[in-house]
Amino acid sequence: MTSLARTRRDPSRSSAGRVALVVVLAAVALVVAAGIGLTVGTKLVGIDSVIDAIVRFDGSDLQLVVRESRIPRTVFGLLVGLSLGAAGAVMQGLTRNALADPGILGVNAGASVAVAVAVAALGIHDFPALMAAALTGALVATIGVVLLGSAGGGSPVTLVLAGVALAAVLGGLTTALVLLNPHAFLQMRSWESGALAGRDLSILTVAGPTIAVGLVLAFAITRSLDVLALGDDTAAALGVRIGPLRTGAVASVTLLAGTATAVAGPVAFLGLAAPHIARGIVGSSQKAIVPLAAVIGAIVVVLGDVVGRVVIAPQEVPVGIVMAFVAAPFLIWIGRRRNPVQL
Amino acid sequence: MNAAPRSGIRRLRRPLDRRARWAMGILVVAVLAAFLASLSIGDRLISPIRVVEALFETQGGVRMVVVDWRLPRALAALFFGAALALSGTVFQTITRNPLGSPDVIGLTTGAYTGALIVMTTGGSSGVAVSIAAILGGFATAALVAALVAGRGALGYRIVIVGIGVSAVLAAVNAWMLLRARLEVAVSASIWGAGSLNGVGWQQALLPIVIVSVLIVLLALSRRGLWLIELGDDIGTSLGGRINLTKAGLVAIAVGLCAVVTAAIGPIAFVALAAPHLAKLIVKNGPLHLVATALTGAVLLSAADIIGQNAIPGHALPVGVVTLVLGGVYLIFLVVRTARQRF
Repeated sequence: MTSLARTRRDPSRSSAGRVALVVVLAAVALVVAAGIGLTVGTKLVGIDSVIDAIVRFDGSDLQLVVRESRIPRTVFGLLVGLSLGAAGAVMQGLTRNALADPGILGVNAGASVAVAVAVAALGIHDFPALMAAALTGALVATIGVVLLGSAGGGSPVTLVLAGVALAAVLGGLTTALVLLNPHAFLQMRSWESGALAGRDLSILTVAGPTIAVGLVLAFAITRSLDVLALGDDTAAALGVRIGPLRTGAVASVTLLAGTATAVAGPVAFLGLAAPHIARGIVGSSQKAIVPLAAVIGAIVVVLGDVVGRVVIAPQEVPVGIVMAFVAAPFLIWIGRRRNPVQL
Repeated sequence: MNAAPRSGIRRLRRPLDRRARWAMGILVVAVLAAFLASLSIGDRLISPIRVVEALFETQGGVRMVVVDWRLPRALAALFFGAALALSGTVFQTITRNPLGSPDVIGLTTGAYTGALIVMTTGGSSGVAVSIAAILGGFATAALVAALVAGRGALGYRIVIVGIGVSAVLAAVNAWMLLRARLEVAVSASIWGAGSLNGVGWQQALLPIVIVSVLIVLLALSRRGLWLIELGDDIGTSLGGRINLTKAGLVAIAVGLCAVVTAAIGPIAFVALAAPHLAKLIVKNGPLHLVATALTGAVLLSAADIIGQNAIPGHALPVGVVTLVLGGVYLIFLVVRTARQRF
């Protein structure tokens, strides 16, 4: 088992040519997905019209749709997908747990309950304040679930179950807040199902930098995560400082999952699925998995949003619900494996 | 290996010890206290003595409040709590997993899905909604069973697969709520939070009767449950037709949980927590089913009283209360058992 794991982790297996191929294919797929996100919807728009709408804006209805709806949705889809894919990969690497996902472990629920408090109890509606609330909630939930997991002896199953329980409690509190405040009910109903529609590009000024910092942090710790896969003691002996690594990972997951939740509502299971797909493509090095999972996440969210737009047009299925359909079966698939929690 | 079943059988035949008798006594008192409290406490406080008097009156304002308004709700809380607890104990025994209760593995979510399909397509009759909820519960049970079938010992697999199935169903539910007209969505959401609000005789009577019948059936087949608890091999060697017994017990357990969900919406964690708490109280004695039922009754009643009165002027659905309290209990349980077992 150990020798097999080591072979799979051997970086020499992914030759330079293979790495280049994966990078090129991922980049192409990302561009294609973004193109589909911009052009496909209830109305098909040519890519030339999209470019026209950006550089030669004439105020026509079609160009308005592109500028006001298609572009923001695609941009936010990319950001949310990058965030959740990377956050899931970091969580799986840190906890060495195949079931780690910001949704399953209650991080998104923490962000949700904080947003519900902000909306229902404090009457806050502007985006920076809501995002600050979401980040605080995500941070508290992340620290909480890590503490609970380690209080239970650090077993992977414990971590997952503690996360599910935490998510349940936080979900119950959200429901209570929303039911007590009919105004919040309306606002939370669409937000909670995870939607990219109706988000103004101006929130990029807040969400963009946060996600960028989270991604940089996530990429910075991948080498340490790889060493950590050998076990805490070995990693420490090899010079990884476990404490700072944990802190960095928690900070990165918080920034990524919290911001993604603030932008799109709680989107579950993408953070679970994307790293598994990435692992299937590039093997088990976190250095490759984290960026690839981020790209896969972005592709899946943008395409998922398109599917949600067209599948019951003119109505829409929010992307969070599409993601549950696409990615939750991964959980079932992992659950059916011989050893469900092993990476 | 050999000592366990023998001591198991001995345990089942052993008469109640002093501790268990005390525990059962305390449980019965707790049930009565919860029952009286739910008849007394409300917008208008009525003293327990006056409540008892009112139960035997034939007319009057107090009688109307106590017998017509509060009694069906109080009885529903007791019976439904017992039903959920028994459903949970059957599932936990059969899946050999303390977390394998019907709400964790998605049955209540599936029942909600069934009900929502009818509610959002314009079906308003309570009977149609109830039947759809029960069918939804059975369909989900069949789906989860099919997904984990042939994969060896159930263990944590059924919990993880169940969480996945319930996540997909939750997405289906969210989508149906989103597409529904606002009035339908609001009422369906309140129902979806699991509420005893507005439960009168009309809503309570039939489910209580069905639940009672199922509880009697379960009591009649309790020997099968004990055999399963002893392990498949031993159970078979002691003359149990294990698979048939299991199928029957699962059908009863799904029925119990689905009828309750159909009547008052999905209620989280009572099915999970009551069997554990009952075990803490009476260990695994011959009366553990009775203790489990009583514990479930107390839990749901108490949660409903809390929900109605915790925030003045607002009635919180009982399901929200059990979700929060039960979630905290699950965290405690997970952390505690993890130290011993994994």
